[in-house]
Amino acid sequence: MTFTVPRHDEFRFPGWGLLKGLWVTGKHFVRSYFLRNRRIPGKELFPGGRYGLFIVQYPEEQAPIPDRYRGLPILLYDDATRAELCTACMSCARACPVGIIHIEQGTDAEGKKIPYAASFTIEYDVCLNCGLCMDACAFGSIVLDHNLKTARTRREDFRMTKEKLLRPISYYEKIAPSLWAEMREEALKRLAGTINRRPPDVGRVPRKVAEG
Amino acid sequence: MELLIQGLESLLGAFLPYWVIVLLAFAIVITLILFFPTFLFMLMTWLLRRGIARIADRIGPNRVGLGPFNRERTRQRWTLWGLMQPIADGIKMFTKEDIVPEKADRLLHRIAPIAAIVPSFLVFAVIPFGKGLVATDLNVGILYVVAVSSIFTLVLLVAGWSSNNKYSLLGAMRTAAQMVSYEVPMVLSLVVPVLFAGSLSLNRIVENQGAWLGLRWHIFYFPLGTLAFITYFTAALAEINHTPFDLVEADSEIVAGYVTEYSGMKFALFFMGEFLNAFLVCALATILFLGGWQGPGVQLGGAWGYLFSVFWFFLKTFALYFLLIWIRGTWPRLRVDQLMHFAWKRLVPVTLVNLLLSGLVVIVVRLFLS
Repeated sequence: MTFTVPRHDEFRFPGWGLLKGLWVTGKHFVRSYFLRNRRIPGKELFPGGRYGLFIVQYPEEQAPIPDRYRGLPILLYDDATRAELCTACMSCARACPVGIIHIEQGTDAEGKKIPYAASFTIEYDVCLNCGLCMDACAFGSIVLDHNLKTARTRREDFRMTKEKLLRPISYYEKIAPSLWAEMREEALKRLAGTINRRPPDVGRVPRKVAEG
Repeated sequence: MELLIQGLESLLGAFLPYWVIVLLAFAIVITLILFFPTFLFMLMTWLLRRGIARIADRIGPNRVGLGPFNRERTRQRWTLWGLMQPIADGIKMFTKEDIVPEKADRLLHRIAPIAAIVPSFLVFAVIPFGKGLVATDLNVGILYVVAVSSIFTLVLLVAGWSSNNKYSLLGAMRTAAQMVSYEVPMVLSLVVPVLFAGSLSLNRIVENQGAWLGLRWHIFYFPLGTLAFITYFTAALAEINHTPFDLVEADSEIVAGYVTEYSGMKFALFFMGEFLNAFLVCALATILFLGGWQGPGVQLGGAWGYLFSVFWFFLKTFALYFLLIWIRGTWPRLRVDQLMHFAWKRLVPVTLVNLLLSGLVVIVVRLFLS
């Protein structure tokens, strides 16, 4: 059985196809001096097709990162109260397929458990960026960062303690507004409950860390 | 050459004997001829990479410039469009390990890359770059060019055989067959401008195209000269293993062909040989068909005429080189059988008929019109 592939052009003379090829590449050559990542509506060859230089000069420029980009996990705290959203419920530690999240729940003087993480460590070098911790978290505390520069020079630097993981909510709202809008209401409601169950000034980010 | 000797004699004649001055003149010219192609090669690699990149909607190398000399170290200025990239490449090539296969013929393996660039350098000696700017004006210039540049075929075989590698040998055999086949139509189309000019000297051929303000080029001798130009360029593409005929570097079949077992600077030398051959093909096409250094303005006396002649020569040559880049960014390569078919069944008959008709026309013109 044979299939005929329609070429949508007529044969004119020997070498016609070669000249057509030169015409196409010539157009690209000339366009590359005038256009850059240009979308021309109605003239796309394929969805998202662009005209002109198809480049982003990375260290100087950067393409926008989509909201759902899965970077490395970070912890959030509230800007106004500096209260950490995490309650040390261990959901993320259980959900983590490689078991790199280590949480120690805080206790008061009598040994009674308080809903905050006394220590929270993530081993960044083993992280798969799978985002299961984020899905498991009911408090909207652990989310995925959009940082692309994750290289470190020493292995110890990949052991991220709580102080290094904490970011304000405003930061996350800036990098992933649509995701934060989805979980905002639930997270803030639960945060209010969490703060009530904690002694004052426990589970808060020190003012120094929060401000700089 | 004579001008240079006279100039040196007037400067140093009081201190040095005549034969030293002649030697000195030759040393200067030879040094220029050895240095010029090296810089040309660097410029051409840069041009090729930038050109191909533009065709593929990219920028190409644009980082390596004079960064360290920039006092503000902003990296944005002084990059010179990446013009210093070839120097970085060269340094990298020098620092690479030089690998010789265990079972290789060591002597030939070492000789081949050197021999690969020698013919190209030799051809530079007879190329007229401008009015009076030719190292030696041989009266059998074209014969010399064709003879010397065919050495490259032998070098390929030496490189492929001495590597003791099946890909190298296959690549070399294939390329040798291709180059021997395309030599025939190439030379047959070279003879057409020789017939028009009535001389084998490259300088005489250029001078023959000097009428009409330096625009009576052989390519305008329609249809014979035009056809000869097209066939020459096609055959020359195959001769330098350029894109539609670049079966040597058909990676999917024979890895890198005859350069498979070469690394570091030896590889770079082969690379250089190929680039210089590409330039020479463009330069020869310019000289034979596009008027060489002839063009409007060359008729002026004094320095302006010389400047214009050099300008026209390099403008035409690099325009043709741009065509090579364009082709390289566009066309796919042929199959081996298609390649041979095209050479022997299409190009050779066309060039033969073209040569016959050209001869007839030249005789008729000589006998009846002049």
